[in-house]
Order: sequence, then C-alpha cells, then structure tokens
Amino acid sequence: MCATDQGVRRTDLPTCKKQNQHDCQMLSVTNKTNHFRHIFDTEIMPLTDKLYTFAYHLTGSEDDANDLLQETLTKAWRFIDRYEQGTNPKAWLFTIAKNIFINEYRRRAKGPGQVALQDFVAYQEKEETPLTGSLDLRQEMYQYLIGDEVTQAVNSLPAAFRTVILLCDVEEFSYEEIAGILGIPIGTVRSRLHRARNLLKEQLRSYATHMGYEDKRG
Amino acid sequence: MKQAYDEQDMLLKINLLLDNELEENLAAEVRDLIAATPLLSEMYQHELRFRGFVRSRLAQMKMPPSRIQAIRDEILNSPLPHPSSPED
Repeated sequence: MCATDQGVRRTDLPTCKKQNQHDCQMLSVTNKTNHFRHIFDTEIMPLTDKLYTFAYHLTGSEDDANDLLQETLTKAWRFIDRYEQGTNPKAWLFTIAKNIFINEYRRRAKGPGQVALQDFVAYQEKEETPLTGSLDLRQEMYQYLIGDEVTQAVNSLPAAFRTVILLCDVEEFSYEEIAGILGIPIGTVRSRLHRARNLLKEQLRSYATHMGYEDKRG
Repeated sequence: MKQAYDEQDMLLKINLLLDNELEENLAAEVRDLIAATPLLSEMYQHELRFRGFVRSRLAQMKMPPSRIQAIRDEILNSPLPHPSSPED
C-alpha cells in the first residue's frame, strides 16, 4: 500500500492507477518526499482560491470554508501518493472537499450548512421527477442585482443544486467530471443542472422583485 | 402555426450545447435550428447572458497569500505517510 490510513476513510478519496503506486515504491524516502512536495506546490496549492470559493459556497460561511479548505489540503497531502499526475488536480481536490463536506459536516449541528446537507442527501433520492423549466424570456430584472445578492441567491439553493451550478457554470467542469466528483450518474447531473438553473432564475427574479426592480420590456 | 420543436426540449438542448455536452452532429442541428428561429435565438442568448451574469457576480473568495503560506507550511511539516514510511 502506498499510504497509511491514519483514520481517514479510503473510500473518500479518488483512486489512482497502480503504476503511480509502483513509481512511489521505486523512489527513496527523501526523493519521494521532495517529489510529493513538488506536486503539492505546483498542482495543488495554486488551486487554493478556487477551492476556498467552492468551500465557501458549499458551507455558506467563511469560518467553515476555512476549516473545509484546511481539511481538504491536509487530506490531499496525506494521500498525495494516490494523486496520479496528468489527471485533473482540480477535480481530485474538489472530490476530496465534497466528501469531507458530506462526511464531516453532516455530524456538525451548526449553521446553514447542516440544513443544506440534509437538502443534499434528500435530493439524491428524487432526481428522476419530470423536467420542468421556465421559458419566460421577458423577465431579466435580475440583471440589476449586484454580486452580494447573486451570491446570497446561489447560497440559498439546496446544496445539491448550488453544487452543480458551481461546478458547471463557475468552474466549467464537464458533466463527466461533475458526475465523478459528486458520485452520481451523468443523467442526474444533466437533470439536476436543469432544475438548479431554473431554481436560481426564480430566486433571482424573486430578489429583484423584492427590491423593486421591474421588467421594463413588458 | 404549430411549432416544429418542443420548447422544453429545446431549452434542454440549448443548455447542453452551451455546456459542450452535445454530440457534434446534434450540436450542428441545434445551431442551425437556433439560427433559423428567432425565438430560439432569443432563448439561446438569454441562457448565455444568464451564465455570464452568474459567473461574473458570484463571490470569488481570495485568501491572503500569508495565510495560504501558513497553511502550506503547517501541512508540509506534518509527517508524510507513504509506502516506505516506518509504519508500513
């Protein structure tokens, strides 16, 4: 085995190919450490701000995002030997973050993250309801909203929905990558995204209406 | 006059097109239909604007470099468990 467990569930982590583990075994301890530090510094650390943004929108608070970021990076380092060079480091890191969020934060009874997590779990089970969508193209009042309101609208979505919006529309992962990160079928990614975007549009329209903006185009 | 397409289906296809998730031949068909149909063209632009709007206004978090460095140093100073570590 390439890594000791240290109390972290291996199922939480993406797997890497055996070749990488073989390579690990061929290096001396010092070279290995330097090799892994190099990977960590060049491929993982540059993603810190993106990971922090993802963590912030997942947890809904800066403090929890800080904790999640640190836990994710710590776990990434602990299992850096399982990281396969040439794969998408952002997908690898985000998968770890999502798993920690689900496994660790579900045990914490604090803040909106707890409620969101319940949403996350609940929505896993009712994906296959018929698609509905909003086609009202006239209502774009939300264009007047500022960043804080948009962030608030996104963060108010159930975690299952805001996660796919973040992964697809902000981080530009493919459906296949999102399916891998979230551990759901591609078809579920597709239907969840469709609902998430419609929900967000409704939320933004509701915010805009509440703030007194009107659709001037009639 | 009856529409030659289903609006919900087209909305889904437009989103798949924008996500680069349509097969190339189907993507070409959808693009042609959008180009030939003003309502679909408006729908396409609407979806495009919506994505740009969310992306540009959603909070992007930035951590101070000193904090990032501190986290990095703390993590890298912890023991690295890997195959030839004494525990194995």
